[in-house]
Amino acid sequence: MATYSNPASLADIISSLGVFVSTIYYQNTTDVVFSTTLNDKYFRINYSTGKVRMYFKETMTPTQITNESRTISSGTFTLVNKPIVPNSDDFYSGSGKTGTHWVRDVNYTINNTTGVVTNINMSGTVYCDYQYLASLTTDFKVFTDYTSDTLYKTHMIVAADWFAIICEYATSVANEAKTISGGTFTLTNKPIKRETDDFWSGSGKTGTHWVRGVNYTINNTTGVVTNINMSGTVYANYIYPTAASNFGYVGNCDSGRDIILGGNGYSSIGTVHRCRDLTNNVEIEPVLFGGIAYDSNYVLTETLILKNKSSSQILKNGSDLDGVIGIKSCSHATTEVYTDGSSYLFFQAPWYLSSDGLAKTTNLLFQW
Amino acid sequence: MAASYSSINVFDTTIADIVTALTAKSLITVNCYQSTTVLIFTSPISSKYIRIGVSPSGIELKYGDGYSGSNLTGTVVSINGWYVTRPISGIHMVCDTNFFCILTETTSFSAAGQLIYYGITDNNKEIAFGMYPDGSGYSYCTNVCKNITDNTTMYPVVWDTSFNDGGKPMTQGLIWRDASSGQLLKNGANPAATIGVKNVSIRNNYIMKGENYIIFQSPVYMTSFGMIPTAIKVDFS
Repeated sequence: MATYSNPASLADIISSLGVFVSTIYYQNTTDVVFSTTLNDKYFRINYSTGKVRMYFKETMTPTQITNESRTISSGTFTLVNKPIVPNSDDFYSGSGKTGTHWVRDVNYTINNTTGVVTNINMSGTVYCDYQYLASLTTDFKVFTDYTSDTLYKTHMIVAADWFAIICEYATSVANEAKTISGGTFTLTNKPIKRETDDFWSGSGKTGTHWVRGVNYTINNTTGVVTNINMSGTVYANYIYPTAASNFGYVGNCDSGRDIILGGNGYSSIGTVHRCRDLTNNVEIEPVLFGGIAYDSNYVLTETLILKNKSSSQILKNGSDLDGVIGIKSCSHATTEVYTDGSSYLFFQAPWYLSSDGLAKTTNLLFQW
Repeated sequence: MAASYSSINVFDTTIADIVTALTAKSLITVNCYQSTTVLIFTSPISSKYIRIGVSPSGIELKYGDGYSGSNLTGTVVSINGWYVTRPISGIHMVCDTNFFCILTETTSFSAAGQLIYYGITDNNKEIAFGMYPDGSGYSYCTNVCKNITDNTTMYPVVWDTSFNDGGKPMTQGLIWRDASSGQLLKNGANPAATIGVKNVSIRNNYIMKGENYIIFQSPVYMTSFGMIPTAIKVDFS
């Protein structure tokens, strides 16, 4: 069952990914390197107080250690490097495996986060063979990056066969003063409707104030506030969306093709946002609506389709077009990230990929 | 009846050639006014008086409620225009019994051609539109789509980027939405497609003409709408 959450830490993100995570190779409070059951690639998530930068890497080549020697004390010792548990070899008391040795998982345990080996039932010098990953956080390629703007909220969607992290950016306005005329005024910026704070007649909320939704309405397209039952100068606190939001998606298409997709509301110069076919290791790009349209006020949606960046060949699933699972192209262009928190999320438009730098003028719709 | 292609003479006989092409598809009910630079006529596909004007630097499409001499009268609507004057080097016209489309090109400047269309959609809306490929000058001139039946302005809904399948571009119906409400123009449960022209998934700097098709240069622009990122294709036999 799909879940939507607002992770407050990297640990929350890893926890939300749950069964998707097959192996965690490295983790601290700001970085995690892991593989998933979704594909055969490796991912790194860098977390900076809610902002998320996502990386991928196609291969991680282990380094082989042979005959690393240790003098045992109390049956426990620590390896120089952090071994990859599934590939660790055994330990032995004679170098080159000529002496007595113990088969892994029978007589001892290895903590592959700390490198500590325990319960070695040996004495004197112990030798060991194992593999470790020398460059855990290097050589990754970014597919979604964040900017220096102010983060408002982090969204995370984990569905049956894909996940996405969306970082929403917004700017706060405090004590914006307006002189009321006829109970109506226009905010300087277009507020995020659902989060707009209240209005009051004394600065710093010291005077009378009206709670949103009770006494007045806000049009978040025009910024017009109506039915303010006040007179004179009114002060407002609110937030409005900025263009900086970014998203990263890891999932697949109808054909089973593994893909990643990252984007940013800013023109992508200086950051990297890419779309990639992980199955064939090639860069790809989405094909979207080229304009806004509605049907009886409903947004039109269609399966998100992709093309090869180099040849422009449309990606296919047999004779059909290969659709992305969990994301739809839609004929809408809201400038904010918007979600109902239970089934869909619009990513703001315009948005950009680094590969072409062209404005994607319509929203992506994540549905779960 | 299938659509037919005509190469229109750039000089001297431009209007006469257009009349010949229109007449071949019975698109002229009354030839109200004809000179070497102006044609005003009524048509079985139109509720208006249609005016086509030509000059060495451009071709223009207007419609109105009546005419007087070389001018339209009543409410006159300009469908297209151009900002930078460049000599026309070629005029292509495709006509069928329910639409006509004219595309111009220049050799000196790739972003100076014009596309005009008058016809219907498959839900029988009478429409006319113009497109212009000058990305820096389009906002200074008129290029619109008018739904004449409903007296509304419309914008196209097209693919946002080029792509192909096995090297061949794909096509879809050229569909429209209301410029104000965004409401899609529909034919029953489906989007209403424009008769005679399609959206094709390519981006090209110059007109491409084949044995049975012509593709206008891309991107093109419409006033108040901006860029139409993929191309317009007109088929004929």
